[in-house]
Amino acid sequence: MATSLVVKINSTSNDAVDSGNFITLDLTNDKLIWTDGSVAVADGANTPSDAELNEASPLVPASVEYEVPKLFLLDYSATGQELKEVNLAGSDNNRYVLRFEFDADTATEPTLEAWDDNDHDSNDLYCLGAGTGSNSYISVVRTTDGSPGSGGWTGTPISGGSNKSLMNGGAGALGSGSHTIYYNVKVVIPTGATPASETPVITTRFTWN
Amino acid sequence: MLYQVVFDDKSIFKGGDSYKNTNWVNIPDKFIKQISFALPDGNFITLQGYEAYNHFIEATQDFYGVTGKSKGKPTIRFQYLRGKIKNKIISFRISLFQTKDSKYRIGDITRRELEWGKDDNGKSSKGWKKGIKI
Repeated sequence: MATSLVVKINSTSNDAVDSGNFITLDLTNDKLIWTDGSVAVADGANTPSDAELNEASPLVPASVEYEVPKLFLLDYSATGQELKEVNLAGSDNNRYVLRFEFDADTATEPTLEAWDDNDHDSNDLYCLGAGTGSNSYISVVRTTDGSPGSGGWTGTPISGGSNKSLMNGGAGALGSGSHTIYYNVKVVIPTGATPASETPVITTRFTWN
Repeated sequence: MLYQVVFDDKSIFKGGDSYKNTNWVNIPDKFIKQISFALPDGNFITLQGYEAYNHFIEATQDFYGVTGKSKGKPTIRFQYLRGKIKNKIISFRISLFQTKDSKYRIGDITRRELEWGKDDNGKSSKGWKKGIKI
């Protein structure tokens, strides 16, 4: 039978595996928002307008690269207070942010990737390095086996087919039984970046026999 | 039926009622003479004479920037057929998904040659079945 995947996110400040910390992403309606935050774009606020998101957007840094400080889950089902801050995301030494639950083995090693759109055949967006995957603003770190490290982690920039994260740590296909894999994620804007509003696609690729 | 296996002893195994249920793991542990795989257009592609065979389905699950046909659902993208000959793997990737802008159309076949034991980012893929006696 096909292997299935559930993606969850920790919207608490508790850096632990406790299942109660995680919300299952509604992949049809929920969204993730990287932002500077504001009064309107804050934990517990309702769905922000485009104008409010624009006001809270980060600026291109002049001299030093800039990590976008806040990630919010827009939880569609939390009517009236849809925004939930994902406090643990980013370059701090936090381990249990994104949770991927596979219910069975795979034929190859699953990968975490980023693309321009759901065609998954180009990475030309500025935020994905404009075709140079190693320059992607989006970096991830696999934390299944341990914390990413204090002092700010580097991680793997994800963009296109050549810059992806191997979700079993490079050990190959997932073995029999279920598997839970953890990640942290951050978005860092380099100096001189081209201002843009872009919607890349982050995806998990997996297989079954 | 997704595929038909003909064994060296002339017996036959018909496998898979869908891409989600390929039944590949239940192929009897016997030497395989040839396998014919169904293509999206109803034709078949036959692999014969290989030392080992593998078959798997690839899907993606978008979870950020989810748009278009894949919105909210895992999307089956490709079917892979692989055969081992000496230290090489001949890989056939059959596209099973397209959008109006896709580089590949449903049914397109991409052939690649890979190194045996390293066909998955330097590791071996799982699920190989033994082919001709060597």
